[in-house]
Amino acid sequence: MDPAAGNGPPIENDRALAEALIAGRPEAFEPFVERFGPLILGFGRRMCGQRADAEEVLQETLMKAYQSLKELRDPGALKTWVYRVAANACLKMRRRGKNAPKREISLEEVLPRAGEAGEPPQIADWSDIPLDRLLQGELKSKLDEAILALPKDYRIVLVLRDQEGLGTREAAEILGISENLAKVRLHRARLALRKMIDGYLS
Amino acid sequence: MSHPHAMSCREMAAWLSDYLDGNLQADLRAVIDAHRGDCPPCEAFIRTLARTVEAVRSTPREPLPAALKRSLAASLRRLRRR
Repeated sequence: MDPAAGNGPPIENDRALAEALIAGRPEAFEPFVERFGPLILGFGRRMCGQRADAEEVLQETLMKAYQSLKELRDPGALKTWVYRVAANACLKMRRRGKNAPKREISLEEVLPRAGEAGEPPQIADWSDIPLDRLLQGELKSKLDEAILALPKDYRIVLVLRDQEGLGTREAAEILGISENLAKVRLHRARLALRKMIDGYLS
Repeated sequence: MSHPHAMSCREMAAWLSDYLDGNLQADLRAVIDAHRGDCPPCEAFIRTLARTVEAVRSTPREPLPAALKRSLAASLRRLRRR
């Protein structure tokens, strides 16, 4: 951010950025795009899968967030505000070709089952796999597919919490759900993802 | 499985995200620590769940292309002029 670009106070944090945008200071637009562009592009990519859809979500989010900023009561909460607009944009976006049905994940389907005689389940330990292997090539494609295969209501909590690094309270506020529901969905999404990766690696 | 602890594998599974996020009270954490030490399937389950979460957390972020950056800033400027 360039504090020397305008006549107002320096834009050194989200509060100052929100205040500069609300005041209509033109030098605030580039810092706004710099700050939230990469975040919302990554969020949209995870939620929608396609780069073109993610760019559409980004465009819609920045415009709508800017236009509705006057409704933001606490300028310090700019990040939560922008993610809320982005979450709405993602949840509204229909999957191309068909509407994704809402689906719940039950614990039964994501926890290992005991054997027929009640013996403990066999669980492969692939936790030593290096992270750079998980995040490159075929394994990365499998991870991306597995995240996209999660029901949207679960995927969005996983992405907000584990990819975007937001807290439970922030994620719950963004989605307009209780903290408890956000925790339940995060937990089941993680378990479902573990199961999908396990199915591929084992 | 039979454990000397007060929590079955199934009961424990409900707490694992809080456990991995460091959000559990010390006594509950200690029960899970002891359980996984005695139960190889749960140990493998917890380790692979932790790896799954780490992988999502470590996803590299794509840079925003300069042309897209310019076009977004220009769209915002147009909105301001309306």
